Amino acid sequence: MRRVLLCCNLFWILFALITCIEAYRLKLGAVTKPGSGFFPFSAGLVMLVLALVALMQLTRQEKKEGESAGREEVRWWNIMIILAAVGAYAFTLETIGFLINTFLFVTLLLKVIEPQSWKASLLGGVIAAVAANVLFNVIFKAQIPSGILGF
Amino acid sequence: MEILNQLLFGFSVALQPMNLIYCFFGVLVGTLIGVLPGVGPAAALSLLLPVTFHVPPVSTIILLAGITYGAMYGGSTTSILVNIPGEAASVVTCLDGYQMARKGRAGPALGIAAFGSFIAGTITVFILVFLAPTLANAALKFGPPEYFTLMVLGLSIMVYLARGSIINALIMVCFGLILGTIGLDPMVGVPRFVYRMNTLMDGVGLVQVVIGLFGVSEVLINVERSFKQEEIFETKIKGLLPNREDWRRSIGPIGRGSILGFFLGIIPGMSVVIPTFVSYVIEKKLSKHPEKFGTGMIEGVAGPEAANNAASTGTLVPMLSLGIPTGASTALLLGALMIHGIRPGPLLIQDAPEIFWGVVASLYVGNVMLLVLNLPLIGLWVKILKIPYHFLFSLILLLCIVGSYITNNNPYDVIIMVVFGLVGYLMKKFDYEAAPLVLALVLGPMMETALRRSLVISDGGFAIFFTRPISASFLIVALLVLLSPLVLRKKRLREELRAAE
Repeated sequence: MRRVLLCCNLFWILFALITCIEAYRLKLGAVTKPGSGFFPFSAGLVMLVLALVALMQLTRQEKKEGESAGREEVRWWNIMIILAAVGAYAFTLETIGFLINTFLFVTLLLKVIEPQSWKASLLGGVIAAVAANVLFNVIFKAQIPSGILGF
Repeated sequence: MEILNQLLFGFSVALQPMNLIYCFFGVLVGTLIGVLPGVGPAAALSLLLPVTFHVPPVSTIILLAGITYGAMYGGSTTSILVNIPGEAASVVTCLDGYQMARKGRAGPALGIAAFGSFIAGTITVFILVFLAPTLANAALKFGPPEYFTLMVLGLSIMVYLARGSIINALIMVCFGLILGTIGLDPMVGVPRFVYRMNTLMDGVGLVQVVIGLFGVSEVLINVERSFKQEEIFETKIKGLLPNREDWRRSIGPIGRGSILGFFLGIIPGMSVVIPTFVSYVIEKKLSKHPEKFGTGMIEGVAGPEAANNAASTGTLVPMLSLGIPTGASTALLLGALMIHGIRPGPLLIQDAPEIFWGVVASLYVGNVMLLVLNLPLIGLWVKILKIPYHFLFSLILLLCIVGSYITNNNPYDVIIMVVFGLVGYLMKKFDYEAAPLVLALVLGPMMETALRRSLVISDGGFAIFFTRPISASFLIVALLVLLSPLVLRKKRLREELRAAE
């Protein structure tokens, strides 16, 4: 955990540095007339100081014994699958359409994340797709693309 | 007298059939969302915000305020019956509410939560009626330095209240402020941190960030381990009306919770969660049997439930009279009004009285509806809780995607939501809080404008923040709030040393 926290602080230091450099490029302006980069530069600078303080605090702390004990197994693949599925849903929504995309999305999640039977997954997918389409496109008139089906 | 006339005018707006329907729909959806674990009121508001684009402004705010109220009610149902708070403001209700349910008193617990919230709503609506116009008049004297320092105070309180490290909370504030600068510069129109991505021209959408940080991240946390279905009481919930003894013990906590919740809710950064904890602690201290708290004391349900409802009315005061949101939910309400071309602030009461008084009256109408609606529908909410999580999570994700997409009908908004879902997940893992980030993102653009205007007014002198009495007092309080943990920690250290000796 200590190593992870160290990485977190290093990430914030890097993030703050990049923000300061990019904000400086936007022009800081003068104190009498602050430019576009003034506010993000200031926020980046404060963040840099805070991250350095946090890093110093962490390096001073003594390493606790047995801190890695008792860790539960994390199902990383579930997280990866969900992130990939949501990304794929977003990019294919306008081509494939809301109804089919929702059916595929829900069926996939039901079948893969905490595996259900094919019957339950397919039924869940159909019900979710039809209900979501009625709710958002028919009742709320949200105009989510209908894609290849055209309705 | 004039205020009462205005309030009657508000009721004439809120009681219009269309507005009643929107209010009903809002409290119904809000309660449903409050019952579902993982989707808080902010995510629910984000989800329905785009739907309100075609709705008149008064109806929009009535609908959205109804969702916030409903979510509070719904959250208490899950706290009492399943020991899972549907949203953060109901965490405290678990302590005694769940124990009451285990002792076969789920009915009175649910009943007092509903009645307590109703009474709190009634009391606070009347305080709001008198306080908001007064505050709005006072706010007419506010200039950019006062607004800037008030927002600094709000962020300081949020940081102070953060659960973990204060430095981590401050880092989150800076992160939120930096995210808030993405898009066109509000003063000169220069694109910042956009990197030729058109989606970022209007900035990082609050809706996508909130849904990602709260909705998606919650699902990711839940799916990383095997699902466990929580125990739900199979016994019939009967006798929802509390008895005379219950009333005698609850009326004091409800009164105190209402006043406390309202005034704490007004302070930016306090949100609706903290007042519930404060109310619980006060009731425990005032009780003749503090040792029995946590074993099913009705005071432990009545006080916090009244406080969370009162606080949600309180949060509307700075939003309506100063134009400053106190958290993600009020920021989304503010956003909804601004989409309709209405700018909340000191002039709202004069410029759009139907909005201000309509909302105030609708809060009361919403409370009545929740009381009538929720008690008979408790059986339905319990059934919803029985839906296995492996079905529920895919539906929650679907709602998150649709909510992000329909704001601008832009698939890249969904990608922003996924990114913040992952960020939120990592933040939860490594003990960074999302609330300071969201408040900073909300206040950031307003803070930047106020800061730059102040510096232009003062010809570059930072002294403007210290020489004007109101802004100086805001800054002093902010400084005290931020420095107090150092003093308190030293004190605690001394106490620990003494104990060790």
